[in-house]
Amino acid sequence: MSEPDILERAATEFERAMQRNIKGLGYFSSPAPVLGTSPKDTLISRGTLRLYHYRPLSDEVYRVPILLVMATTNRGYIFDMLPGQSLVEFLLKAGFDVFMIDWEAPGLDESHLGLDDYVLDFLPSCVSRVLEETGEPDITLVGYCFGGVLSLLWAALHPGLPLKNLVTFTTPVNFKGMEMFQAWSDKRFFDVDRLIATHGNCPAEMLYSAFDLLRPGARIAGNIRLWDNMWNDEFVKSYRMFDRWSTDMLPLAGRYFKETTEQLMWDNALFEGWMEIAGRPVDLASITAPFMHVVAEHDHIVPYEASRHLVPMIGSKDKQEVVLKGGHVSLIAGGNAIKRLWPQLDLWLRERSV
Amino acid sequence: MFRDMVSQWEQAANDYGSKITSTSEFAQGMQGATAISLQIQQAVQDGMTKVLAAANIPSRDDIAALSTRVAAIEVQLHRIVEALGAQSFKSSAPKPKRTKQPPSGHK
Repeated sequence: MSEPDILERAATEFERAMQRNIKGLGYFSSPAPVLGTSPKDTLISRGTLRLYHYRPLSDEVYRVPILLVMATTNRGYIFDMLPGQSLVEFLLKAGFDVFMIDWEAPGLDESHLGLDDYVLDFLPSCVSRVLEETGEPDITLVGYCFGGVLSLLWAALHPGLPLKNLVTFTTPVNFKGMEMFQAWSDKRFFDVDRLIATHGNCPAEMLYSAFDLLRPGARIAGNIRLWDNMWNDEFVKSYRMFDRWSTDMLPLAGRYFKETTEQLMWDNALFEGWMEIAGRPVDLASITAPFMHVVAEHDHIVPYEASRHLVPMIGSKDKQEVVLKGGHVSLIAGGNAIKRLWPQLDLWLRERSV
Repeated sequence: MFRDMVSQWEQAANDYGSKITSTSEFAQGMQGATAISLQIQQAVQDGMTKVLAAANIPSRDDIAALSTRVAAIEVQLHRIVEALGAQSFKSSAPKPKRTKQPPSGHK
């Protein structure tokens, strides 16, 4: 490195150090970013369930509406972070009519809710409401993580119903492939009944700790990177956005958590083929709508072993698995998603939405 | 160099942490601690319920029961609103035409 280079580098580092101190003060004194602000109407608000309809951003939309199904552990604003970084906004601008099933924290009075309530009541109610609102006979479902599992269960139990397309992101089917969660929920040691008897619902803090424990070094390294990049407004904005979302977890309804633990984590019933919802057998081969499953190359929450079996189990002729660079969250939101997943989703959907 | 060091440390911490936490000994310890904590919480909860009842103050279960009743009223309200057409909750903007076609040449 030449002398002018060294001087220039030193000046940059000095400038950044100053900015870190100035902006660091601002960081700690400023409120959390406001996320999920795309204009929308609430069509259903019933206990933990919310159904939103986003206001269209174009005069002409594709015929088939899209219903995003959020995972029950987290808030749906991951699909609608900030203007320019919102999948919802992207889809609206691309000419889709977008709805979303989102969740509020279930109250203690909802601890009795089970998988059957989600699959045989919440999802069908929302689908009917979307069809009524749009006047269309069919719909595209896009489920994220466990929202994908719920979408699969709904689709498998309602063959012949108005499913035009089904898309799932990072959706597990072989729960034995989620090694860390398997180890922690080992039925020899984990007393799910006692947990539910004491708390009613599975506390969000417990879920947060489990997700955090998957990458024990990530939080400390993340804080160091935040300090290092405090001078960089874009980095800080993105960090705060994702940090707010990842810490904003939801509790799970007691019976629902118990059933998912027993049927999926312990018995792996969906993969083994003996899953039942309210006594009705679930057969993924009965799903015949066009299907796309998008998985992330570096997903530490739903490893590839947990998701790779899904596409072969689906009965559709038009089906595909897409493996994209990224992790469980960066697959669907942030710079990586804007570049990779969103255009791919738009391309796949537009031909199948007329 | 500093950034590489952070990434390497993170990777090592994640690998080491995963190795430790994926063992059945760790799971047994973690769930044992959870069980003790739940037992304590249950005992405190039972004790508090008696204290609250003596002081004529509603317990968590009482509030939950009230919440159930409010939720039932909300459901009924929602049904009434739906039956009335829910016009006041809808955007008054005209609905877009549902005739959009994919751009040609983008297969």
